[in-house]
Amino acid sequence: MRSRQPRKVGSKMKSRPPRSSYSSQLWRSRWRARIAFVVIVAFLVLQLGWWLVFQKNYIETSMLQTTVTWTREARALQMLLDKTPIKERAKLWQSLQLEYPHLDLNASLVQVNLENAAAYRHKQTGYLRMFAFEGPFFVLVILGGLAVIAFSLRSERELKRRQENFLMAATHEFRTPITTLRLLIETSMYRELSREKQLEYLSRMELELRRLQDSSERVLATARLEQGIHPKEIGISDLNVVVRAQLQSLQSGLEARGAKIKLELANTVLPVEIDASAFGIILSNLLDNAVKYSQNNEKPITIRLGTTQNQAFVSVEDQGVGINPNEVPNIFDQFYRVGSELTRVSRGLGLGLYLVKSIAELMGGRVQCEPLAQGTRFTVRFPMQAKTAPATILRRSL
Amino acid sequence: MKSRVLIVEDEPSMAQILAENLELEGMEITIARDGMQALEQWRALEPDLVVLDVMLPKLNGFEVCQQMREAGNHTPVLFLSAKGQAEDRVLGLKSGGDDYVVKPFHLPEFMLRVSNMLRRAKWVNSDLETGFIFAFGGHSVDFRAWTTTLQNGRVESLNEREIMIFKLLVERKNAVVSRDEILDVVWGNDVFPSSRSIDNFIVRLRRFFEPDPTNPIYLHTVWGVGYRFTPEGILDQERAIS
Repeated sequence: MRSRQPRKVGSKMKSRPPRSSYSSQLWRSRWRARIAFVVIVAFLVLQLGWWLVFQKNYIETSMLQTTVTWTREARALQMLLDKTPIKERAKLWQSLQLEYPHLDLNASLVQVNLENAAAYRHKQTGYLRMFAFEGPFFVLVILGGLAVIAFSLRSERELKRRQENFLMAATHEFRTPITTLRLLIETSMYRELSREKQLEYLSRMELELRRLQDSSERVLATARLEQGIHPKEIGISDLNVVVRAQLQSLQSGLEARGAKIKLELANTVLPVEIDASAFGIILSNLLDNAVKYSQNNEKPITIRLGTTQNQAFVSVEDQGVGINPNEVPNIFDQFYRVGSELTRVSRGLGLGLYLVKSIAELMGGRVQCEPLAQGTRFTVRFPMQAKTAPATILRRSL
Repeated sequence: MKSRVLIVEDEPSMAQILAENLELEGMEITIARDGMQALEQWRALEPDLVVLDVMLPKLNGFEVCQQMREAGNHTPVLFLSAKGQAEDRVLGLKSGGDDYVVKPFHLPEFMLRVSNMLRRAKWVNSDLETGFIFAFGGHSVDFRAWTTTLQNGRVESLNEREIMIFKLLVERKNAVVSRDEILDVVWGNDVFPSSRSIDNFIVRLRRFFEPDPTNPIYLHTVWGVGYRFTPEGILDQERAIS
């Protein structure tokens, strides 16, 4: 068949990549907020500048007018005194001084009291200083308030973006295995398949089912965390034993995906107070990530146990694509996934590491992520317990 | 000759089962795993149909389709996506897709859509009985280059819908072609425009070919039914009198 002839594209086609209406709304609102912020700041600074200039001019004018008035008053009183008989001058001046305290009489010469004039000038410039200090302070307070509002708006937007990403990731993570399962089943139903092909389809169905199960487990575990369900079995166990037992159930699935797991147990007993099944969620998520982000066919993963500063630790180390150190502070956040879902490279819901951190912290542990020269190491630490101590009740809810 | 289908899907298991089904129908399948690979293979293979996922590594499906359309490629595209909101479908069709199927879907339905799209593409690219150029009333239409040389010597390009509508009318010259038939052949599947948009395409064709578009002699409206093409050029009134 011949391929279609190339021709010019209709003018309706725009060169900008299609943007979803949600993200274009977000983009517009972000720009509106930025423009509003700049307008408010510019308005405040200009308004304050204008007020200061206005006050300075006003005070200077007022000082000039006062000086002129006082000088005129001094002249008028001088004329009055000059026309008054000398013996009555002292009495008149006494009554006049009450009305004109800013004027002095020096050897029958009426003058503006220099001290009063200086005090007046000082008082007026004091107002100017007050405005010059209070004005910028007022602007700073408003800018601080605006910055706080902008910051909370940004984090709200980021949360919204993550939730939207989660919805997309969840849609993809659930619909893809369902579609593949459906296609495998329908192909088996509508076509004549050899026994070999049927078996191959069954094992592929099993893989897809496992993927669905993993995703649903994660969502359910997150829902349980949020609703505060208490762990049933919290007690002191040896971390070596717990890791070995949990690994047994996970190993075959991971090895089927190419993982080569090396387990390095600690030489000593590591008594920690944990819920073994909740710890299983931590371990399975860390191992799942280690496999997911190892690109080669062989995926070497090292699980190491040991003690450090009276704490027991278990670390999961891979030699995969690694992680950008700038991303490390965010990776434990709920729904956080690197980049946009539309061009996602890896599967996932953005819940795995959130679960790891939340569950570890509920059991008194801490999680740490270290980017390596090649790969990543996640370490979970729990406080070591005395071997004989009775299991205490976990007060915080899981 | 086997139809060549390019499947762009990053989920290996899904790509494989789709490929196996299409291969069993006698098609030649190539699989691309990400957006960049899709562009490369699309250009290199010149497939007859592209089955395109939306959420892809490196470059999403909408961008892949838009880039190829902007480069002048008109290979039919069937979007396959887990994103099923109305606005996602609109984005898919706006970026140049011909059909949009939401996961999970029914296998026989998918196969039917693929074969319909291939059939339509084959029909668009096939020549008329008289060759790929059709001449009437001093005009000529080139169905390979999608251009028309008008009586006055002006050369105009026709878009995909125009060339398909005109081809259908030429193949059925002097007979009435119903709007339903035009929708079925030109648009296909469930992407239905309003019948008003068929009228708009006819209006544009009349502007090219009719000496007086308000009194057409080639492209006649048959009220309540559809259209009739008469290459000899007959006024509606004359036809009624005769």
